[in-house]
Amino acid sequence: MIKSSITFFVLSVLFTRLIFAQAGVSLTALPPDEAKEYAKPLATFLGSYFNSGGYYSANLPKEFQFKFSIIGSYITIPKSQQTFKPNPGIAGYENLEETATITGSKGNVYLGSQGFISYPHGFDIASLPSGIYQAAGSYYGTELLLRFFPKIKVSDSETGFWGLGVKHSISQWIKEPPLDFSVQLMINNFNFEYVGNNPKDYVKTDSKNFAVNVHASKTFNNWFIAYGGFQYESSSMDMDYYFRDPNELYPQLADRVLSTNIKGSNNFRITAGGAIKLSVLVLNVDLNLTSQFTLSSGLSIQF
Amino acid sequence: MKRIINYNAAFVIAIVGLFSTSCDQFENVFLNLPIDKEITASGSGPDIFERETICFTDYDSFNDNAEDIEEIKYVTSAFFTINATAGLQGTGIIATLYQGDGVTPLFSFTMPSAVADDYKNNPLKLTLNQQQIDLLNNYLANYKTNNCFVAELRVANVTGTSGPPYSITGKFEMVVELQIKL
Repeated sequence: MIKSSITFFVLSVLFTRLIFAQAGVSLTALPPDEAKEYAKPLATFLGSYFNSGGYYSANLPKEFQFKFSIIGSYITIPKSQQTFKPNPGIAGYENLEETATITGSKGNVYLGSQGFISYPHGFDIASLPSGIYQAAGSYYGTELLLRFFPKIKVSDSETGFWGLGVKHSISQWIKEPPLDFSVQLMINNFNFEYVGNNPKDYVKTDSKNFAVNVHASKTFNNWFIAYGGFQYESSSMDMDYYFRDPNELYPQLADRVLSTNIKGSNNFRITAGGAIKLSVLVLNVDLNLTSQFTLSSGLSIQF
Repeated sequence: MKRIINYNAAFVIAIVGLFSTSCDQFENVFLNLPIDKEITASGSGPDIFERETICFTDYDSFNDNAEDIEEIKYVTSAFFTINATAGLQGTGIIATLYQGDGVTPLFSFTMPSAVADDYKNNPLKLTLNQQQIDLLNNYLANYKTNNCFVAELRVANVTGTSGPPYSITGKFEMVVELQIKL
């Protein structure tokens, strides 16, 4: 619990830093359309993260069952998400070479009719660990899953998180099914807001993540569970930020709070994994083929 | 902003280390910092020139991170004409960058064309040789004291279809990369 909380906290802090650590040419120094492309892997990462770990079995008993899980994920960012083709929308700056996204490496500098336009460097991140905890209770083949982290203030920023999932066993309605299978819906929301005194540092983000899946499992000898599923998922991040315009190319947008919506690349996910039941303890590991390949593992207490 | 970075740095490096063996990317962050200065040189000739001082301390990006900067490196620079006396030209248009003392030159660049209008809406990248880049980077190595430059714009043996007096306003731009410790 403590470790998981810390992990979540790390994510919050990382997020804080991803947004704030670059006071020069940074995410918040880009106009909305470019900020969207630059930060897309971050929105995708949050989707990959929050849409993981929803299940390790499709079996839901009719009697009451409670689960508490700590889930760790290791998310890899593909090369294709390390760069993007900038389009600053200013005459004299067309057909530019690719530059780093927030997870990429070198931010490029381009010379056009009005001088230099500088793009931010990325954080050179090929993979990121993350963690979360969750509790779930089920009755009559229907499960309610909860994730929650209270709003906390870290220095000049405030961050919080909640998630909700509903799962229903379909196989309970079928006589002697060869497999257990269920459907599940999850929503997860992560917020971050700068609450300090400098209006020029203002950033507010709201990450919304949605997933719906169908998954199946088979339990062998009452201790090993093989499971897999197919999931449709989406992620989006609303962002309000103070735009400083260090390149001095967008005077009409400069020095005010702008808004944008960043859609992640999350669409479909295929999951395959295994779990071992040791009395009330369950250990599980699964592989997730999605926009950002994810290895997820969990430790659960189930009774 | 700096406080946020400092406050969080210990958490990030220590705690991320628990989960990842490769946290190098969290030790430093790199920022591009574009700096620029408009310079207006005017007079009757034969040479017209003007100097302006550029300091990193004029930029939030530098001031916000000043205590955590580990290194500053030269990336690139350019010059373009904003406006000039009609037909202004000379035997050379020269951009020179000096150390903050205004005496010690870091580099001097003579534009390939001495016609001011050739650089209107058409910036010229100042391509420096390795020796000039090294000189600049050596100066920037002591950025705490060496955080100002003096930029000079000069037109030698100026002529124009109108004037004297002659006048040229140009912009000198430079991008440096800040390495910031987290």
